[in-house]
Amino acid sequence: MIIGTRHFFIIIGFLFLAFASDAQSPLLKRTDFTVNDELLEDALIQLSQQTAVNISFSNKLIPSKKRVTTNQKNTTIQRILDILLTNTNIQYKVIGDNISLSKRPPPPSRKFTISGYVEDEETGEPLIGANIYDPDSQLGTSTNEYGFFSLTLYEAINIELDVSFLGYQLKKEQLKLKKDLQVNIQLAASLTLNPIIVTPQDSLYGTAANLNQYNDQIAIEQIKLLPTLGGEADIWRGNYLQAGVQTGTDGVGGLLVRGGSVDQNLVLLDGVPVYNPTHAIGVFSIFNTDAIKSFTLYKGNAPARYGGRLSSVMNIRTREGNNQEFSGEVSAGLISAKASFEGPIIKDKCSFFISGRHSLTQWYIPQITSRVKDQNNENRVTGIDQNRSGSSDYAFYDINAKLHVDVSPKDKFYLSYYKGNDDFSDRNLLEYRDSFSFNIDPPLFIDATIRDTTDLGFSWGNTATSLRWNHVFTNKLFANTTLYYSDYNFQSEERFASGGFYEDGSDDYILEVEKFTLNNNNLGGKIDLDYIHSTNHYIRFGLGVSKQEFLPGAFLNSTEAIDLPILLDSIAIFDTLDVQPQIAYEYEAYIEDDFQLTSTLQANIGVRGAIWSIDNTNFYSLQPRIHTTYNLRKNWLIRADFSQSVQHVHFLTKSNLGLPGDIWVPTTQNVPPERAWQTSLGVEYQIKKFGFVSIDAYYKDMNNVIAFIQGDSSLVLNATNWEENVEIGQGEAYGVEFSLKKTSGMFRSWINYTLSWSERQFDNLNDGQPFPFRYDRRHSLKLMGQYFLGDHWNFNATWVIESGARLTLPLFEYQVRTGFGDINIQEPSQINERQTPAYHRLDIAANYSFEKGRWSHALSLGIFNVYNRINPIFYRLRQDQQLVQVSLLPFLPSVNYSVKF
Amino acid sequence: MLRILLISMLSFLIYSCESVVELDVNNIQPSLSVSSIFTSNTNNPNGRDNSFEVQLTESKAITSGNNTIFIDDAVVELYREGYLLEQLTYDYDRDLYVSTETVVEQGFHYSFKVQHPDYEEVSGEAFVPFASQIGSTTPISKTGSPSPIEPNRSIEQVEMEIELEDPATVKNYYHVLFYHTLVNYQVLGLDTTLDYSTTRPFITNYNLNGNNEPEAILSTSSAELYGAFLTDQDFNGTTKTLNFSLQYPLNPAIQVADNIIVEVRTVTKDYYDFYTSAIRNAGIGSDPFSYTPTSVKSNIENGFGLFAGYSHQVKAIKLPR
Repeated sequence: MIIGTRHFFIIIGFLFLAFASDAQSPLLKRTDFTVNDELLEDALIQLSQQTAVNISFSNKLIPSKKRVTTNQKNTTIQRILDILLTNTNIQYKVIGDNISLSKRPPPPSRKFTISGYVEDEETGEPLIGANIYDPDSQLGTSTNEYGFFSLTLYEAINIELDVSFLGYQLKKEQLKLKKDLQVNIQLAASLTLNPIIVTPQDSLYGTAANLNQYNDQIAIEQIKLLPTLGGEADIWRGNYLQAGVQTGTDGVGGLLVRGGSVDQNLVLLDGVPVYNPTHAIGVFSIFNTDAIKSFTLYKGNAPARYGGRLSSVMNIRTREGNNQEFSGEVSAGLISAKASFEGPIIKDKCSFFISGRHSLTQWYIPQITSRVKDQNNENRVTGIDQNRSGSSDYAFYDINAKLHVDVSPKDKFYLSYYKGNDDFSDRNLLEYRDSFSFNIDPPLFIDATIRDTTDLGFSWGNTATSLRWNHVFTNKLFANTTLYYSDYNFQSEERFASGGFYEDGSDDYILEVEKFTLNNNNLGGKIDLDYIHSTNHYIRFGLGVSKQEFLPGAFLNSTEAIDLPILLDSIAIFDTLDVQPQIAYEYEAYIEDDFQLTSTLQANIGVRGAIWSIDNTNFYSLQPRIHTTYNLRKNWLIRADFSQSVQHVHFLTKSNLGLPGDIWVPTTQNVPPERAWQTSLGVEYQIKKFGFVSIDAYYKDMNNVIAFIQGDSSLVLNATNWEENVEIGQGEAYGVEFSLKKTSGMFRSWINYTLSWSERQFDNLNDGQPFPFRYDRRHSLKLMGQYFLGDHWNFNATWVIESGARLTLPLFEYQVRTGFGDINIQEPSQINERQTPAYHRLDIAANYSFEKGRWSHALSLGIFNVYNRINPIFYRLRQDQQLVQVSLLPFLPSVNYSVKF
Repeated sequence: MLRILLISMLSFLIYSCESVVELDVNNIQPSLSVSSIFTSNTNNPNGRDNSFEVQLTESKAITSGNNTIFIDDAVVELYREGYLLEQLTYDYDRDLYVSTETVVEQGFHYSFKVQHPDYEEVSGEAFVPFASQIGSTTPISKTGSPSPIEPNRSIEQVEMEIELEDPATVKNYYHVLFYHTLVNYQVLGLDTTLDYSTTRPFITNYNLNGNNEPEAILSTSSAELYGAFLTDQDFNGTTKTLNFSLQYPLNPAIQVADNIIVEVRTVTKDYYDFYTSAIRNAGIGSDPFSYTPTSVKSNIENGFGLFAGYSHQVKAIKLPR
């Protein structure tokens, strides 16, 4: 049907449109279409009639003599229009369900750049990863890690940018683009409790700037809703629920990504590497969620700007402080109490943020452990009555502080500080009476009371501090310069005293003292530059240098015997506490480009170079990184990665548990750097108003991984000779990850499944045969469900089931006579040949929040390990030759209350 | 009240965190463990002579809880260069099979065979190497420092050099041991009583000069595996100076330190592999806070243990006063 004289409009098939259930863009509708030397105008009418899609145009627009010929099968309208309108100055545009043809304007001769920051309207916090999008040109970009963006567009009298970010209201920013503009855009927080869950950020509309976000992000608000341990919200627990991410029992063992070990994760706190990111031997992280603004996990396909680890990158950014008004939050759970305060020192110019957390465990752990340890019983081996007593204590704290100053619109300075520490102590007392005989003339028989006291103390902690300067050189060139210092310390002391109090009034005792200390620190500087050439090229480059010190474990052991009736065979003192640390220098540089090859194919290609210098020996490496995404068709995305990584620091762990006393050591002449290459291939389908489903396969090859030579600890805990006690080998990991995530609606859920293999091989371990990695869990299934009820309530549940961890167990025992006595030798299984039972656990939580005046309250109630599954952490052989499994976290209720103002 | 309730509940829960696990090894057939370390030398500091001694015990499942079972009714045959020498007899006082006729000689291959109706036949063979010579021995320093806990007691530290003349024709393995005699005296009126006791000073350090020293493995936690173990890999056919630091306690009020005796055993690869792997195995546990258990290398066919010979040279080192 044609209406009007000056303009005529074709409206065909509107009845069909009314019933169209597919809300696809009309351009993507498919049809068979054939025209043979037809007038263009007639061909357009035919296309409109045939597809029941309105195609409106002016009769003056169409060249009257232009004829077209084409034969298309099952082709999109978009493609057909592209063919029909070839060599014309006609463009098309979708308006609602219609397609409108218009004269293509002559391309503007000038382009201008809009740059600036996207910030939270209330607090002034820069927003990381916010999208800035121009619907007219279909071009867009995202803010970088510092909230900065740069978008170059053709000049226009009036453009309207869509600015959006997770958890914030969409903002339409209207601008007149007649010159380069510098604007700061403020976004208002969403009015509903509506945090986005995990979002793989491969952009479906595709701009180069979005491409860098090929990673998993979880909003901090989402983490706070998940079931917690003792009310302690933790980003590490959010990570453990992702496909391809594993941990040991209940978190002991740290974060393990795609078959890698715990040291192969680069943990960055405001750009500063952190050595030991967990409290309580991995049960929860050192990162106070109240202080975190964002965190991102790269599962092995990290871009070239990150380096130094083989498996993953965890990039954590802390809050910078409200520069508008003073505010705070106080909360307490069963594990800890927290408080944070922030506010402007000079409004809009200078702000502070400070947050502190201290454990509450010291309030009840000594009493609990005292009750457990107080026993009067019979020794299972000797049959002698004995009294046991003692107690344990555990406490931790951490502090985050930041000062932020805007010196000028182009210069921002940040001073960040983190300090955290754990202290654990354990005391065991054993008292019993025994009879002693001495082979002297005449023989002496005497009764005595024996009192054994064992005191054990551990203390460990991180310090990370940085001074950062953000400078905008031009509206396309942004620089971040960082000076940083990171330090990790561990100290332990074990004292064993055994006193004999004889019935004749004499006494004697033996005292053994063992001290161990290790330290790593890293002092460095780096400059990272973002050059936003265009929406098709986002170039990052930078360089850095750091001085790293390693004191891999200094050791003192002393034994003293006083007035013993029996002469000790020997008395020993080891003392290596004055050993000097090993010092290494690392120089790094990188360049990478996020670019758009075609409208459907994007890539990030980069390379990282590093030089490691230690003891006059240099190690050079060049590490290429490639990540590509291809929009196969609407809602379908294919991604492929290849990366090489080099790690110059090694982690020597006793049993891959990631314990705080495990030691970091440098690459040296005798111990080469660890190298890995990894490739992955994935496909993802976005389901409208639901979420997405994805499947990814990966393969990782690791070389020069190191391990302790097996056996007696006294051989290896020595700062002077650690290089002689390591084995150098290789590893291999591969698997498939499946994710189905419902990310919208009142009910949201994840299903994450991983099928994986991970092996290690060392020439001198396990007879040179490959053996499973300790966390070679074949199957891992993680479910999360979340339901929002009204504005105040939400309910959460997580359930995890996965194959048991691998372990080596002694199986046989036999006696051998050596010439200096008999020794019992325990013969073990092959390394990690045995497996613990499957791990599974259900956690639930209910969260209630409400506001009263300017006060916001939140109450969280939960249960960890609802059905009290006894999941073993390790096995040990008891004195009575019984093999026992030891588990950590049983059924535990949790509560947390927080108030914000 | 809430705190008491919470503590009580958590106490119960944590107390229940340890449970016994059944290990599927109790039904596996036990094997024989063989211990026989023999030498051609007669003047051994540890009192051994040059006869053959073989101890047989039964291996057991780690969770069995049984005491060691000595096997006293097996047929144990001893061979030299493939020819039967004798069938060993059982000494019930010492729980050992002993030779009555044969003495060990350097440069020969010995083998044994054990037959018992309840066990698979076990066998093994060993060579008795020729002893390498000890060159000069030099005490470098001797220092004493008072014990931080009991000032009357002194911790004596001795550093010394030992030259080892390694023959070029074969690859050699060494086991270096030290013995020390302490003289305990007591003055009673005009009389002084003396009592001699032999101890083994603790080898606290090796490789004192840094990287130029060959690698050695020291036992620091098990007295039964005492000594330093090394190979001639880095000094084959040369005279090598080895540096040791020893330590022992002394109560100067009642004790005098006598000479230190060094014994350098020339051992076989089987001997070396057994001891060094046993050192790594010693003191380990099965929980993750210990190190991963390591397998002990054995040269016994169908069984566990060690059948190995050695030759030695012994030298006394006079300590500076």
